[in-house]
Formats: sequence, C-alpha cells, structure tokens
Amino acid sequence: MKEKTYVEDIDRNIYDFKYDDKDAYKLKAGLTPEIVEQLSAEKHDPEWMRQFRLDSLKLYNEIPVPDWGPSIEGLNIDNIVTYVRPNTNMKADWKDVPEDIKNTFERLGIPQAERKSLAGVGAQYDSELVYHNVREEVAAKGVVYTDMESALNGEFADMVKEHFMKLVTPHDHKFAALHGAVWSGGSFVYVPKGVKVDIPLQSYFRLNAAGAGQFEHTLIIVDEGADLHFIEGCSAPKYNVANLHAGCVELFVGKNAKLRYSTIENWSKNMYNLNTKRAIVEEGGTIEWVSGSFGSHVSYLYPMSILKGKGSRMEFTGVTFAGKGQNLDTGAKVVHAAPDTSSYMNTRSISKDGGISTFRSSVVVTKEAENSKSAVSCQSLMLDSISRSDTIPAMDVRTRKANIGHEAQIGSISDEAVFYLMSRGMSEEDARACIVSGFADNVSKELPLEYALEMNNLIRLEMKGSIG
Amino acid sequence: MGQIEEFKINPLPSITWNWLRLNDVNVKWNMDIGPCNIEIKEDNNEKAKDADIWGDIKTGAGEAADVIFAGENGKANVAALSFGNSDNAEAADSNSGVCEKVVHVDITSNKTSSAGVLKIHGKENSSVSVIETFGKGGNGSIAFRTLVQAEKNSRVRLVQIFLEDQTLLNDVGCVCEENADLEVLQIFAGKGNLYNGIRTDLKGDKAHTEKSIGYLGQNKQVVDINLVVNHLGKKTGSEIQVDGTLKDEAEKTFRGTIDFKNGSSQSVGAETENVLLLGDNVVNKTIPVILCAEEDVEGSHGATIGELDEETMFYFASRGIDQELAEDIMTKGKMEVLYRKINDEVTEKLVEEQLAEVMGYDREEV
Repeated sequence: MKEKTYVEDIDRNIYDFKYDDKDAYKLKAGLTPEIVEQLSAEKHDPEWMRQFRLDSLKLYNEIPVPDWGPSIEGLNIDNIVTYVRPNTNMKADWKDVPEDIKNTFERLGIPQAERKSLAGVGAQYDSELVYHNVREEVAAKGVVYTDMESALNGEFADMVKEHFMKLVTPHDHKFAALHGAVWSGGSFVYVPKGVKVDIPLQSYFRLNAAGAGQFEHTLIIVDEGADLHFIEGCSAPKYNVANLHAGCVELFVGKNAKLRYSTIENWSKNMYNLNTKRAIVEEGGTIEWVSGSFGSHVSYLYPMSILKGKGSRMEFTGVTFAGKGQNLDTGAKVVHAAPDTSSYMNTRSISKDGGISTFRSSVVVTKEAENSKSAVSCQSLMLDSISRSDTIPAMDVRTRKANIGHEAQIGSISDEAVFYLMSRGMSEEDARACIVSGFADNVSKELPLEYALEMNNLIRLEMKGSIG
Repeated sequence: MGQIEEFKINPLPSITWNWLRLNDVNVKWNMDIGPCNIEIKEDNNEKAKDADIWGDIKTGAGEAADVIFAGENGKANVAALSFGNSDNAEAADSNSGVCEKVVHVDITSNKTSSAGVLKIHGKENSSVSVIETFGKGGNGSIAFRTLVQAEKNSRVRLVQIFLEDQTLLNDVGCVCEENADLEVLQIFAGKGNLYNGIRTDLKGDKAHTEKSIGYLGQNKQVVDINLVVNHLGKKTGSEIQVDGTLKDEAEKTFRGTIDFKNGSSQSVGAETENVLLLGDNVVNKTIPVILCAEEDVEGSHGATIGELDEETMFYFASRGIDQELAEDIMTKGKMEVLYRKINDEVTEKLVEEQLAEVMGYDREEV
C-alpha cells in the first residue's frame, strides 16, 4: 500500500509552557454589569469609558451569535474570566519584569528581537501590558507608542476618545460589543506627519491564565505622509478549558500615509479567536495586511479596509494552516468608497488532519468608486480527505466604471509538479516538501527575515513516505 | 388580488455575512395560483410514471418554494416526459454530442399567478433535448419547476428560453446517475424579473454537467440566480459559464456553488462568470463558492466584472463605431454565442427577434 505523504503538524512546543498565576488579580468568571463596573474601576476609566462599557454590554446581550461561521457552542462566556491582572505594573526595562513573566517572553524571543530588529516593543501578559519601550531615536521623532491605559488617561486622552471604537463600533457584531464592554490592555501608536519609522514596532500578546479572555485594543494613527510597519504576535499554552480572544484593532491611515500591519497568530488549540481588525484609508494612503493564522480552535478573522480617500489602496496577503481540531474561518473585506482606489487579496490555505479552513471575503465597490480596481486570488491545498477547505468570496459592485477580478483554485499536491521537480533530480519526498513549503511563501516573503524564519518554523513541514 | 406570501428562496448552501444580503432572496408571491399552460409539441413520448424518483430531487430555489408548486391545494399544472428504455434507447451521437430526440415545450400563462411542473426522465442509454420556451405576454407571475432524472449513460439536454414579460420563478432540480451527461442552456431575454434556481446532483461516477447561462438585464429588472452543483460520485465533472450584461438600473445576483462531497475523488469543477456593466446605476452581486471535503479534486472559479476595456473601445473607435453601438454589438455578441448553441433554427430566430425588441435595434444595424 502506498504510504501517503505526511505533513507534520505545527510544532507548538516552543509556545506550550505555562506558569502558575497564583499572584495575579482576577475578576470572577462571567459577564454582568457588576463585573464590568468592577473592571472599569480597576482600570481607572474616565466616566465616558465606564458608560461606554455598560452600553456595550447591553448591546452584547441583544446581538445574536453569528449564524454563518464556525460553531462556537463550546464557548460559555459565564466560564470566562474577563480580567486577569499580572502581579506587576508595566515596566520599561526587562530586568524589572518579574522572573516568570520575563522568562515567558525570553522563551518567545521577544527581548532578543527587540535588540536586533525592532523600534519598540509592547508585551502583554493576560490582561495588562507588563513591558513597553520605544527606542529613543524613534521617540525623538515624535512617535508615540504606549499602552492604551496610559493613552486614555494621559496627554492623548482626547485623541483616544475621538477614535476609540469609532471604526469598529460595538454595534458591529456580538464580539465587538463584548470587546467594548471588557477591553483591557493593548497599544496606542501615533506617527506624526511625514515621519517614516524605518524598523517595525511590535506588540506581543501572551495569554497565560486558564479559562481567561484577552481583549486588548490596538489603536494606530498614522498621520499624513507617515510610514509605519507594525507587527503583532500572539500565543498561549494549551488548556483543557476554553480561552477567548476578542481583541480589536483600529487603524487610521492618513493622506499619502502607509501602514503595514503584520500578524503571526499562534494561539493554542483551546482558543476561540473572535478578533476584529479594521483600517480606514485617506486619499493616496496605503494599508497592507500580512496575516498568518496557525493557532486557535476556532477563528473568525477578516481584516477590513475602508478605502475612503481618492487613490487609496489596500493589499492583503494571508496564509492559514488548519490542522486537527481547528476550524479557521479567515479572509478579508474591502470597501471601495472613493474613485481610483485599488485592492488586492492574495491568500493560501492548507487543511490537514481533519482541519477546516474557510476563505471568506467581500469586495464592495460603491457608486462613488469610479475607476477602481480589485483583484482577489485564493488558493487552497487539501492534504487529506478528512479535512475541509471552502472558499466563499463575495463581490458587490455598484458602478460600471470598475474593473473587478476574482480567481480561486482548490486541489491537492499536483503529480505533474512533483514529476517536474523529480525530473530535475529531486527525490519525491523533497519535491513534495518543496511544493507545500513554497505554497505558503507568499506570506513569509512579505515579512522581515526574523519573522519569516519564525513563520517557517511554525509551519515546520516534515515530509516522509510517499514512495511506492 | 390573491393572498401575498413572502418566501426566502435561492438559498446559498454555505451562508456568509448577512449584511451582504446574498444568502438568499425574498420574493413576494401571489398565492392565488392557477395552472400555467404547458404545450408539448411532439407527442410521441412515453409518459413518465409518477414514480418515487421525483421526491428525491432537490431544486435550486430550495424547499421554501415547494408550497408554490405543490402546496396543499396542488394547483400547479404537472406534465411529464420519459425517454428511451434499456432495450430501445435513443442513443446520443457520441461524436457530435447531438441528441436525436428533440422535444419543444411552450409554457405560457394569462393568469395573475400560475405554476407548472415538468418532469423529464431520461432512461438508461437514452438521449433527449428538451427546449422549454417561456412565451411573451402576461403581467403577473409564473413559477415553473423542471425536474430531471438522468439515468446511467443517458444524455439530457435542457434548453430554457425566457422571453416573458412577467416575473418568473424558474426552479430546476437534476440528478445524474453513472456516466450521465446533462447540459443546461438558459437564455434570459425577457422584460420581467427572473428568479432562477438550478441544482444538480452528480450522483453516479463519471456523471457530468455543463451549464451555460446568458442574460440581459435592463431598466429595473431583477435577475437572481442560484446555481448549485453537488459532486457526489467519483470522476464527476462540471463546467459552468455565466455571461451577462447589465444596463440602466438592473440588479443581478449570481450565487454559484461547486460542492465536492467526501468521496468525489478525481472530480473536476470549473466556474466562470463575466459581467459587462453598461449602466450607471446597475448593481452586480456575485458569490462563486467552492466547498471541498475531498483531497483529490480540482476546483476553480474566476470572475471578471466591469465595462468594456480600453483596448476593445479603441478597436471599435478606430473603425468609426461609437461607444453606444460598440456596447450593443458586444451585448448582442455575448448572447449570440449562447443562442447559437441551441441547435434549433426556429428557437434561435425567436431569441434573435426578442433581443432586437428588448434592445431596441434593427438587426440590419447591428
């Protein structure tokens, strides 16, 4: 009997370690007005934020669970602890961070990456930032990179109030409302007019506590003509109870500004990742999304771009790897709301060992978006017949003066491609390994080298057999 | 005026964001339904028995539409055709793919609301082409369901020509057994709204289907299409081609789903859609879905949506043809490619004349 080509699952050993959270402060599990009030008091919220949280909770209770995506029946919000404060305040020096937490980030390689290739780092442990620092020369240009709590109560309070959940409102969907009610942690970034940040900023989110939720809020404002690359990483150890991630990312890209937002998501396989990301782009501005989805039990993740200004553009590059026990529903959304806008989505998905991967997208072209262009390309690779791979792309075009294209392919490893490589001297095993590795290349080539290596390590494709 | 009921029909097999309003379509239907006229022009057919086979056939409009066709009162006119038998079948010309048996069916109605069902049974090794023409006239709504059972090694060709002025709900359900071949050709050149559901289950190994759909939507017409092909057998194949033009304030939705079920190994499905947008207020919605639960398959879809490209416009301009005429030529050309496939001179002429009427041109000019 022919032995099938086997692709090894993602090696999670480097992420699957945990520390006791006995010293941490926790709210009790569940979601009630009292818990939200208590959280608000813990966070020293201004009054408007306290009321915002309570209004969001009301909406959360009114909005139904989505009827169109993967099942989230295993998630019971009554069992989720919405706030876990680690036993430390935020530090600006790693040596001041408690040993167990520092060890966590050391093992994840964050301090090393900061020294080598980052302009600033924010590290969140459960519900709060434990470390935040930005290089002096970057700060000297006027770049603000701080935690959301400091921004909310400091000199940027008005700016936060003006932008907070204005792009993703609590009315959007049930988990946006949940985020509005119980958000904590996250980063605030402001890049002033004309400032180009040459090396990336990174926020890393680590959820250590079992049965907890993480609800960080990322708010980035890139002013006119400015340029930023922001990297987001996330991971958690595996528990036997459900964990929840319902973060929110709001990106404001100014006139002729450019923002690249890269994410390597590797939550543990007990995680429900119900995340919302959205960007609004002014005239001539550019948003680029690079997204690798590897972890989680269930994911709903579709970064959305609103091309509001004339000539604004969006690119989305994504790869999703769904293995055993995973149902990853990922993709992107774009709204062309102004003339001469353009968008390009390029995605790859791999399903194996019973994993379910769904590519879901929407391209909306309004009547005002004359001379706009959009192209969507999605490719899916099925590695066995106990998995699933679906593509559900939607297009809504309301102007004749648009040029919209879409293509999708789904299939298995091509015997012809294997034969081609073998005819050039490769073994069959190497040929198959090369094809699967190359399939995800569209994302890794868009990342800085260190992160591309991390992503390749994540995929860690080990091939064996297949001959005979 | 009869009782008006509202239904959600043409359901997408795998739904998506509700705000896109693509998961299904709401239709309001006059439930004071009478039978439509079904005129079968050739009467040399063996009548199909009302056997159990029909109950298993699901249609594109979905179960919500059942009440229109059957309901408690069963007011729809029901006709049936059966072709061939195991011993004495009309075999397809294996070289040309041409069906030997051709049957014309005219569907008309002068009632406010009418309905009809036609059952087509292609027995083993049989070969038949059924040309359904939905005639002009009327100002109400007509619902018509066509059920096709294509048995082993049969070839069934279903041509549907829509020329009507009234709102039409066209609902098709097909099952293809081993090595059966089903071709569906639909040309929509009417003035009313069209709700069109087509589902095909490729049940047997090596079953194959080809779908070609052409439409011209103009004024405030609504064209809503739900096409589903389920690959169940091994080595099954599907090819779907949808071509259309939208003018004025026409609104079109195309849901196209290729579903590779577990066990459909070595199957191939391909879907393409081209939409020419010629109106300033058109709405074009497209959702081409591939669902896949089988490793060894090949699925693809592609879509292009937009107005005539600059190269084409330049070509016409360099020959002294203005934009309006160029657009008419391209619109007619896209439809002509399809209606020339009918392979029936009388029906082709009918479509040509209808296009001339709805597009408002003399054939000599274009």
